[in-house]
Amino acid sequence: MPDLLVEIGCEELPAAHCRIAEDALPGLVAGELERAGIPAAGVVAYVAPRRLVAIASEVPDGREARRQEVRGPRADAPEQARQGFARKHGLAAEELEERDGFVWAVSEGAAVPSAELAADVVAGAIGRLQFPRTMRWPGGRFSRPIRWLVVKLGADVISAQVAGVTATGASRGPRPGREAVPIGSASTYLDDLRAHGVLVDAEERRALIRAALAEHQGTDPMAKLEEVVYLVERPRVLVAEFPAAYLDLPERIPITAMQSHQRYFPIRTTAGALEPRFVVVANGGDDDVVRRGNEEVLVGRLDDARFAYDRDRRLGLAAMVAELNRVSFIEGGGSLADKTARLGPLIEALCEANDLDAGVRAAALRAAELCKADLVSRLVGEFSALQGYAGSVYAADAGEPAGVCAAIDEHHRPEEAGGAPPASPAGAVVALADKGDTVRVAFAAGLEPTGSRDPYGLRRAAAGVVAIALDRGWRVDLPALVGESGVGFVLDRLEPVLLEEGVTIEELRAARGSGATEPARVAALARNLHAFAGPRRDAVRDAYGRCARIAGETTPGPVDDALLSDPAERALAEALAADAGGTLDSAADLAAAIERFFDEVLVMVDDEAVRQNRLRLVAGVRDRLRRLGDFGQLPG
Amino acid sequence: MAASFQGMISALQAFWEEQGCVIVQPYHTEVGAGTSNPATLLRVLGPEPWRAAYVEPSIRPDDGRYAENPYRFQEHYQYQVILKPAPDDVQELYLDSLRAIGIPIEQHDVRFVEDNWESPSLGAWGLGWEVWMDGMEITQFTYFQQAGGIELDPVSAEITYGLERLAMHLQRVHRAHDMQWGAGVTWAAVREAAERQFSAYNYELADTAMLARHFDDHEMEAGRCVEAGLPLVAYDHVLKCSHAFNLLDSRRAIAVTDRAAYILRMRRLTQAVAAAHLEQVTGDA
Repeated sequence: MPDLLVEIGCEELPAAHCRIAEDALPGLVAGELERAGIPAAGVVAYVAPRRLVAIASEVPDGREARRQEVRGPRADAPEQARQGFARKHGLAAEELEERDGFVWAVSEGAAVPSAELAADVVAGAIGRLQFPRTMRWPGGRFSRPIRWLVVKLGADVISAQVAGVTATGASRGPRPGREAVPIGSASTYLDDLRAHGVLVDAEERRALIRAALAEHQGTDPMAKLEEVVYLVERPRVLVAEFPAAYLDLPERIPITAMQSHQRYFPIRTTAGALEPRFVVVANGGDDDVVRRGNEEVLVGRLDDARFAYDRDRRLGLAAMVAELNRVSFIEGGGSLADKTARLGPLIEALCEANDLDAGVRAAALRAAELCKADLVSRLVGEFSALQGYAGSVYAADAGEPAGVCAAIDEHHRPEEAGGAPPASPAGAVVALADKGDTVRVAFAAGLEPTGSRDPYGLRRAAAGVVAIALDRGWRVDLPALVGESGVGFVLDRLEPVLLEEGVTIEELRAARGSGATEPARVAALARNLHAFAGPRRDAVRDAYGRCARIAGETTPGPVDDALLSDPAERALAEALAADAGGTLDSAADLAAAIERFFDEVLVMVDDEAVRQNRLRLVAGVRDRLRRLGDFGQLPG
Repeated sequence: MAASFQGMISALQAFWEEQGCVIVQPYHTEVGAGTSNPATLLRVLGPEPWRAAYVEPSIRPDDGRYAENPYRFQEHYQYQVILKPAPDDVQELYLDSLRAIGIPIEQHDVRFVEDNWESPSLGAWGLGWEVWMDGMEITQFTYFQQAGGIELDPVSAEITYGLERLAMHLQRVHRAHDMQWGAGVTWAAVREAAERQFSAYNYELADTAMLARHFDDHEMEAGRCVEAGLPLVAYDHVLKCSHAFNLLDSRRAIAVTDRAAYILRMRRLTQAVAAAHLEQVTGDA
């Protein structure tokens, strides 16, 4: 059985879109083949910036004949209707069959060779490929324009058509050449292009770049490798140099100049010192020319950085702080000066709730006043990745204590999901206050994220609040920090963290159902519910369920001991009174008492006073259990 | 000997003329980018094919550095090409244009790196790349999707070369000041004094009360011209609003709370102009 090769030749695709296509193509092509009745043994995808490739192995030679029956008009319908229906199905009226009071068009349907089905398979798979943002060009709509197409089934070209492009058997080599690269078949495809220097398989490029970085001691502190893998299809790894004089700059400045826009990899000695050398991953050209060009570009960036750094230091941090009232925060959130002014009370509350000492409090309050100043610095204007760090460097210049400088540097952390949280307590307090304020202001202005659009980075801010609260185990009063409308949004960020640990979504829902809003408290409840899974938790769940059903709308209230006549209800009241209400162990004891209570006591007695007293007792038990979680969310 | 600045421009003019482009002239009032020239922003509207190329002085008051920075100026030069509809081989055409100005691109690492473009005040956006040569950004390449709030059909390709950077790279100089402009004259001799004076004016001297008044006046005049069926004239006044705004911005005279409102006023005007212009050229009611 032949293999099917599909190569979609595009103008340079964004790296993120390359990864999306790499993940999605195998499933889409397999699905289309399945639908066409010619399922493949397997489908793999290969992606490079100018080509999306799928290879389906062992595609059947064709689809077997399918008998098709279509019901038409009633058998007693006028002749005209019967004729129209027959014509629609390519039959004469007398060829229609009659059954169950209707006429039927029946065709045996011929077997179809795969060569005739493949074009639709290709068009279908490409049509279903989804990107977060697409563009139009005169010809179609896709991530970037489609310029050529190769489709081969075995050794045969399939003339599929997509976006006005007709498939041929010829691919294209690397830029800037224009030669056609004839493709033998799916099995020769990778080698046919490798002969022209193109490595279509991202894994191959990744391995090549990794090996070169290891050889030259290249580092990747800002994680650019995964992007670079999809920016080149003919990787050439070069080692280049810059004047050592730039190593006088604080280390993260040259590192950022190398990595942020240029995607170079800084080189360190084995002892860890930054060297005046870097690794460039190019996509072809003459090594010496390309190396020299990149060296000149980096020198230009380092010059800019030094110019900005010197100007900033001459200006000084205090002058930058004074500029903050001219820079807007987000809509409805005033200026950056207004924002920093709001942080003070939030910091006071966090310190109070968590018994943080006066030193932490003082450092955090001072850092809050200074933490946004670097947003008006030239250095951050050049390299936004340096925000926080630049401020800490200028604060140190201004003689601020080390703890304040560290808190300024750390207050943007965690930089990404799973990234390191602030290392110092003062940094953590400022970070919580800053992120919380951002969420609160945005939600108050109705700017919550919709779909994949999150222009204010609110998901990241909310995830940061959760990550820091959990990391520190601090009490964080979310309604006060992010406003009532932002609470659910922040707690939603617990989901990836806890699910990763093995907690189930039902356990998390149950924990949130407790009404707790402190992230660390909700997480602790969810983890406890998870650890307690088993017969004893099931018993508590069942007990909770019975209480909730019986108590209905009853609100708990004082239970009148004088009305407690039955030993089982007295025992339950005692168990409830004795229960400190903290642990699932004590909840299990309470569950046993309820079990006995329901077995031995009838709640719905005629005596109104006794009945209400018992309902209040049951409602009290229900609410006590609910503090540990809404057990009704747990699977029964 | 690497090409002079003016020699490079002549080569680009000849190349794009050969491709059937109208060589139009820089616009006569300040624009931040060649995109704002009506030869691009208004001509991309509607179905009529259009190919044009031109040098455009890009006036960005806030980019002035008193001629101290090696390649950042409040007046720099772009070479702008607009091709409507975008031809299928537009990337190849662009690479050929680099060959035409004397760049042996086989020796270089020329790459198209994702970069998308948006201008809130023009109601315009597009997707495309910045073009890198050996790591240096030399060109912005955009498939225009929307302008003046109107979806574009057909889509145009816009190519914007950064002329100083390209010339510096070709001439292997690290400061624009040392770049050969032509006829034995350097960039510094042509531009340096003006960069100093305009930086001083833009940052220190420009009369903000006057600029705010000008913004209001030109806004009103633009509205009157749209009403009178003169969208091309109205657009001039929109550009004058935009330059007044940029100057106010470089004077740090735009309050935080007013910024979004200014941008919205310009976008509304541009949209009104674009709609009126499109109506005239297509004859739609």
